[in-house]
Amino acid sequence: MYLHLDHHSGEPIYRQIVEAIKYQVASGRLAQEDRLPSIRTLAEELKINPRTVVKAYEELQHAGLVVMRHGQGVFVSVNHGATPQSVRQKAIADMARRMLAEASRLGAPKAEVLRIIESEANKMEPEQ
Amino acid sequence: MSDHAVRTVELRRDFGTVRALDGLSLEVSKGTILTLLGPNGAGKTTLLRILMGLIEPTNGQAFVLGSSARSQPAGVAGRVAYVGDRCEPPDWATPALLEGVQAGASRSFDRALFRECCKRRGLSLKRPYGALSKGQRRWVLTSLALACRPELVLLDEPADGLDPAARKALYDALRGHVNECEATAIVTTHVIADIERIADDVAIMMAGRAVLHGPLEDLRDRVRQVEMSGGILPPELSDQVSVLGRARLGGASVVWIKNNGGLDDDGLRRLLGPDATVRNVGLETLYLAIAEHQPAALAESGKGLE
Repeated sequence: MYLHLDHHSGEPIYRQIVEAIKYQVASGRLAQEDRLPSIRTLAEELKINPRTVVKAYEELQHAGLVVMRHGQGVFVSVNHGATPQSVRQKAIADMARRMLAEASRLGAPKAEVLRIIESEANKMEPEQ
Repeated sequence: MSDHAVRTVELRRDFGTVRALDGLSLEVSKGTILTLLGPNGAGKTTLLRILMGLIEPTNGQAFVLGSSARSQPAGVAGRVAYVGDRCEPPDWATPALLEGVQAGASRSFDRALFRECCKRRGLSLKRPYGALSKGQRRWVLTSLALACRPELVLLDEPADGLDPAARKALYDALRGHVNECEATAIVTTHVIADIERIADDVAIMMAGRAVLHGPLEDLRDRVRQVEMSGGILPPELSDQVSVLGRARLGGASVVWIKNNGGLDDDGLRRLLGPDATVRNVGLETLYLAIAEHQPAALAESGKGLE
């Protein structure tokens, strides 16, 4: 599994792993019952401490996105109240919140932000 | 104590009138890589030399793999490897010869691993040490150390003189060793970008003390840079965060804070108000903040992140 890590962003590595796997679930690249790399394998691939991988997997388990089955491995499990759609919506809501906060610092009222989003969306290729 | 590979208690070392270590207390958990960061003369090399039993502390104690560093029994000595500036082989020694010497000295020495390491960097085993570049010498010494499969590795500026690809290869090899053997490493370096890639724990040393010491993931989780107009944090924040440093940059007040838990970034932003900007901080920014604007309070707080 390829995960891009930025070691210099100041963002904790375990959280980068959590976010990357959430995105893969949200976009459908990881599906129900897919097996994630073992802790040892992922630590070896990413050249990080296995404890960091453990922390990421525990967080994903807590968020209801994976289950760790003893002796079998770690599997995607999106039926604990977290469906790919809900993960996707939450990810987009996070982006929106960040953008609204930035826009409010620029003094832009909500209506203006919404208008800009709509006009940018219209410029993009129409969806099938 | 058993899950600590290294522990120092109030370690002090004087060289004449110069105090190289000034009451340093550190703990390094097994299976982790600690990197020491600090200006020249901060005491990093002195610490490694004390841990190796090469010099004695003036005061305080150092424990290595459960034994006092002062009286390292032979059993412990074979489980620790050290690569530093002052332990170089003679110029005429070839890697092949060094391999033979090391194999005789250390029962756990893995000859095949050493040869593979040399091969990986295109090094001939027959080329004398004196004819190698600075980076190649570092590579040979570090390979010798790792091929001994030590439980504790002490590397003093291992990346000195290495190009970026060689540095990455060296640190990847170190990480592989630490993960495979549940080994522990202490590494000093000036290259902060390298630290961000390999460190589990970071200790920033200034004048013989650790002004900040803790897991790097914790630093990333909890340290933030706040830019605001007044530079005065709201009083509700005072028991939730500690101030690591302050500066005025380009007319704005910048405060580096450590979140003591219990407050997420959204909560922090709410309390600070819309005018403040809250950012994550890379280690380089944090190091420079401490090096340039280190408040007395930080030195007093000692261990910082614990």
